[in-house]
Amino acid sequence: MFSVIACLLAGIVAGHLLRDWRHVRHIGRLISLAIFLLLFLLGLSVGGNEAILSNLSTIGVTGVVISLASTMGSVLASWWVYVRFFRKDEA
Amino acid sequence: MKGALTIIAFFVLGVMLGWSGALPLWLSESDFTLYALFFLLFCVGVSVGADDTLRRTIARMQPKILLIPLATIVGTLLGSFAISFALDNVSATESMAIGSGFGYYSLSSIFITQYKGAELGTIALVSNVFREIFALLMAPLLFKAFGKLAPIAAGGATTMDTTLPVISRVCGRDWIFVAMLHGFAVDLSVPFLVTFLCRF
Repeated sequence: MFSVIACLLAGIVAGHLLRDWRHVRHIGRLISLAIFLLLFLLGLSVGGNEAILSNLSTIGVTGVVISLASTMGSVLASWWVYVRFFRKDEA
Repeated sequence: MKGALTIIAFFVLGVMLGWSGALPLWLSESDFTLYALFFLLFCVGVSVGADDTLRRTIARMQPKILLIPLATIVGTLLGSFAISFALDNVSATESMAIGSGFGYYSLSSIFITQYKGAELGTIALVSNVFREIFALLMAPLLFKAFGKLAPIAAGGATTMDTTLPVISRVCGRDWIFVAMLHGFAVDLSVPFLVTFLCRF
């Protein structure tokens, strides 16, 4: 966890120092490349793992169920915040 | 949406090559993925640090706007915690770690793979891609049923990029600024929350 925060902070400091360097906006491409590579590697370990392959439907259903519960939790919390703190501003 | 399809394509290509045995598996099990992950985080940091428009918008915001990303985060944690009791293949903190991707499927699934293995990583990928799709398709419905903030809350970490056009159309242009700030705050919380929850 410490190395995660360290990498992120080092990046923010470096980005701030380099903000006037015109090539810094190409960082988005590097991010995409790293993401493609890592997701490809995740696919590789899934494809080579019999236990995961035979479980793909359970994995999919679990993913969708957690997604719906998370999203609806956020939606309900935002509804409360909207009614309590924001609606009166717009009347 | 194009981004999600490209990422899924890379994932599926990996699955096929891994399944066919064309590529050696040690590629995905070596320290190499960890260094690639650190490199990715560093790059994400650079993109945040170099962005001046973001700093300017933060400088002139009302503090109560921060309640919106806070509600999104707390709501997701509660929802994913509660649903974990209905699922027998994930623990409560695993479910919360998956929820804490907030639609940021690339980073969260990579993290969870690193700390919890490929099976949970794949659940996180499905779960967070689905959140983005749900937020895109359901925005008008959520707006009608649960008020102006609902499409933003559903979008999670994606409200500063992929779901922003839909939010501006459904909620109105006045909410673009709120949506961007919300996306930024939730985005930043992803690496912290996911790595923290994976420790349990």
